[in-house]
Amino acid sequence: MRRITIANENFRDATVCFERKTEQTTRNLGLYKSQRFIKQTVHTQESFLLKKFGNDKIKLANAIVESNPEIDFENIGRKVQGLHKVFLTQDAVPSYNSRIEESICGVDGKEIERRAKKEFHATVNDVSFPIKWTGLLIKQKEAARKYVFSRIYQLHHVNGLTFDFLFDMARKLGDSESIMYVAGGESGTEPIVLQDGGKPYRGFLYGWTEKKRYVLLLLLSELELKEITEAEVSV
Amino acid sequence: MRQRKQRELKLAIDSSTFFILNPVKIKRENIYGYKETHVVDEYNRECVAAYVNDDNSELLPMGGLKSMYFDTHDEFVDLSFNRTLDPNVFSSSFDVTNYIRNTNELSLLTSEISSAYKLVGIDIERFAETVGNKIYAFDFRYTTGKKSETAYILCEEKSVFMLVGSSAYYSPVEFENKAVFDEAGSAPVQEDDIDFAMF
Repeated sequence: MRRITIANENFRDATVCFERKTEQTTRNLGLYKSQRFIKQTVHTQESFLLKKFGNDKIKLANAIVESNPEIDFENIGRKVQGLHKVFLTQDAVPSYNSRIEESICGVDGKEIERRAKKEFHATVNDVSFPIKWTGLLIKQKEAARKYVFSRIYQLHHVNGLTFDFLFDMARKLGDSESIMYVAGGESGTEPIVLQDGGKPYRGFLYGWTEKKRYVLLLLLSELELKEITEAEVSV
Repeated sequence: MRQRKQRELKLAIDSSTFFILNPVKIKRENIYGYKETHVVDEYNRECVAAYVNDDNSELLPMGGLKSMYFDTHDEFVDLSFNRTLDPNVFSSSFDVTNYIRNTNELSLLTSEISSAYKLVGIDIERFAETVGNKIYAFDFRYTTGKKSETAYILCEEKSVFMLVGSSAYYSPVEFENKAVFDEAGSAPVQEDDIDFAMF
């Protein structure tokens, strides 16, 4: 299982395990097996062919009737084994000197800013800056109506000490009927990022105990129901 | 311009039935905006993603591949044809009356929500009063098929929302159920939270 370093409300931290607890969305094909085939190559795409024929659609249409340049007879229908991702320039050749940028767009779709892509680094397994309790407790009833939780991970102990550590967290959360807002990073206010380059989420701990057993879940959210109004929702 | 298909959700609770026309999907980008990732070459021209085939070295555009299915005798199988013959296929929730049941916060908080809708329509005020502080649920299929998700219905500040998702398979942990860390240096589990917007 994956590692998460997490602290309790007394700033005592430990590294424990966590895993996602939902049904994997793999398709069960039963007795069938799938195979991928080449349907089209870059050099038979309409945009490439148009350039080849000087952006003259009539010329291209005549060529299609006469010599079928849109079909790559050598490659179409061939089985595909392994694939590697590349980026192509507008001349349809691989780019060897590309860089990644990101544009920030508003709700109206207009670009506000363009900059070098900012990568989020994982915050769940940083032993120097564990995931911390922020002290913000939210009643379960309120949380269910306020946030949309799109990911759920269960925390597991790895030894006797971490059993007590997690059991105690789960008991406190269960007794308070609340979930705890947790955050990571040096400031203790940064979002939860599960892996380098991953999405940032707001994280919450939800837990309870049943006799000598505990359930401690990390709920991740990127959407608040409360902020939605008629005007903000597109039809 | 192509007309958007009208979809009506018929929800039955106790002896009342409510008609919700075109539930409105809530998209994160409509609330917070969004980011787009671009790959540019040394002349600041936009690049496009493509594949290189292992044994071919041919450049393949996105969408330039076709998946096909074969049986144990390597005969082609049309799965869409099989699906229409399958007697266990269930109707879309938009084609049937959905009987909603009472549920609780525990059930909702332990479900991964894949989509959220705002419910609107002429019946909505009466429906909101009926839902009140409770949470209701029903089995939801957006399209005709086998797999269903759970739709949760709840009110927040006079708005009615429908959250659709699947339950998490958590189980209470005992002292004996010690977990083991992945091997150090092993490849991290790739999940769909990588920002693949550019692809």
